[in-house]
Amino acid sequence: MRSEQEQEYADYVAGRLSRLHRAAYLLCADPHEADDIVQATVTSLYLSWKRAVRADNLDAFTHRILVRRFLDERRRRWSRVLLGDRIPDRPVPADTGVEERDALMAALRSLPRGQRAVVVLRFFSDLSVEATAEALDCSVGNVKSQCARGLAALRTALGTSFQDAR
Amino acid sequence: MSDVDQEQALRDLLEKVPAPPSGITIDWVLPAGRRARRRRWAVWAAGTSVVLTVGALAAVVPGLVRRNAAPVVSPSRTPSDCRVQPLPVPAGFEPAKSLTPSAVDPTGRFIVGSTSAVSPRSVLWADGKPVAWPGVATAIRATDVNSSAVVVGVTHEVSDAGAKDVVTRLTSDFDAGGAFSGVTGETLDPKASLASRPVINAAGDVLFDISRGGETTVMLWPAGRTTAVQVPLPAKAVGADLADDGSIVGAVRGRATESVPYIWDRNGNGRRLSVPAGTWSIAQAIRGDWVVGAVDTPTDSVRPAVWNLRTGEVIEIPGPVAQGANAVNASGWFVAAPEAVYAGAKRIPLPNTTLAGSYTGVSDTGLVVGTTPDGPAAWQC
Repeated sequence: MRSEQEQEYADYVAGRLSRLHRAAYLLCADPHEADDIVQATVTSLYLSWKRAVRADNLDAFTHRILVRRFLDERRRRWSRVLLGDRIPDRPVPADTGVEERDALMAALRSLPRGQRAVVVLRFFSDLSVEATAEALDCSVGNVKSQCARGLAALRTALGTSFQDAR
Repeated sequence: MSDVDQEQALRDLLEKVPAPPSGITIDWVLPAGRRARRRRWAVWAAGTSVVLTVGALAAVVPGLVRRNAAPVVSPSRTPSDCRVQPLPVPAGFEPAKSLTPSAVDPTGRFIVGSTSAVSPRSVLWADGKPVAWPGVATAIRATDVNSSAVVVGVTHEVSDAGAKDVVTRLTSDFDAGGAFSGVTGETLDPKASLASRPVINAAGDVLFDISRGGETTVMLWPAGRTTAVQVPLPAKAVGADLADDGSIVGAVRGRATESVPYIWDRNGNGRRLSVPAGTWSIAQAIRGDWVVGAVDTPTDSVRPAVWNLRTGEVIEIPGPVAQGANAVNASGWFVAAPEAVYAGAKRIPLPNTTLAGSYTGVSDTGLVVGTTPDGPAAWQC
């Protein structure tokens, strides 16, 4: 990669690294795994930068890599390797007075992984419906229906804290 | 609330979630990208070179390719004539396919497993038969068992004060009639979470990792003690398995996926295990001279690896296996989750009822445990 292309890449990643990490954390709820996902994403982006800059929507291109890394269980790596796939997710207590943000993380984790990805891309990463569909390699209609279901499930799980957020 | 308001409410909530600090900074990003590009070229160049060289030699020396393909590390014996037996599922644990064996002890006499439900329950099989446990004992996720039928697992307790994990040790005196004889727990700090699968050795010592504020600590809970103690390992060390002589295998993690495999004694004196060039790795299980684990390859997939401690050799096992190897026996046979059993580099096909099974443990006596599509099973090889 030429030095000006590297600079272009570095500028792009520097501006988004924090948001990419937060998006990865919202997806997987594990700081180590979020690091793994972001590392794999930005490395892959470096390797495909020439193609990436020609994409219609660079953010959608980047998030496509990020979500693939999240959804692809092969890449869940060390945290998963150590805990083993035999240990199920920690149960979510129904009513233990946890703080609002913990409740949101628990509610997010209760969504199917694909639906969680739609919710995070649409409402945290601010991708349009079309860009989300491109990132997830699915139809616009699928994104819309998954959004509606995810939103309804979160509204039910969060109850009043959802209403009070505004 | 209108749809638009609901969407905005969710945006506001998501913005409020504080993420823990990232281990990745922009200073790291460019050098990592350059390294990945170099590795990609190195792999391509090496692959081309090997193909050309071996191809050229094979053209003039018949049989050379096959001899060169022999595994570097050879186990002392090879599984053969494996026969599958379903493990009986106790009443109340249906459907059978929700029950997965977690581990088998080195003698092959005891097997533990748990259900995959959010609130899991566990079963101990002794000599192939499920053992009746009191409710307190079944309400754990059993993760390992030793040759004295001491089981270790995790209980998740929820109360008004919050939720907490308890690493739990269960003893059962089988030679005196099979009675359940006690349970002891090591309650984790509420701010800590369990970061590894608790394992147990022949003496009944338990090893597990906890994560608190992004830092991992390796804990040893000696048999007969009421509390666990921190093992004096380097920063960023993780412990994955505990040998009968007290050796601990695991890794020292760096940034993101960087990880170097290690073996330590319980005083923290360690040595680095060799890794295939250009890879990161973690050691996950130890038995005798054998250590197995996972290698993170340049092509971005995790594969099993096996080390021979006597010779220092390591081999990376080719093939599309997801999570590396997580159990090994004294002969060097190992299981790589989810679905392969190996003796050295040789993949061992096991008979099954219908589809491929999933394997989770292997004893010194050649008993492989895992699941078939119908439920828990054991293969005697």
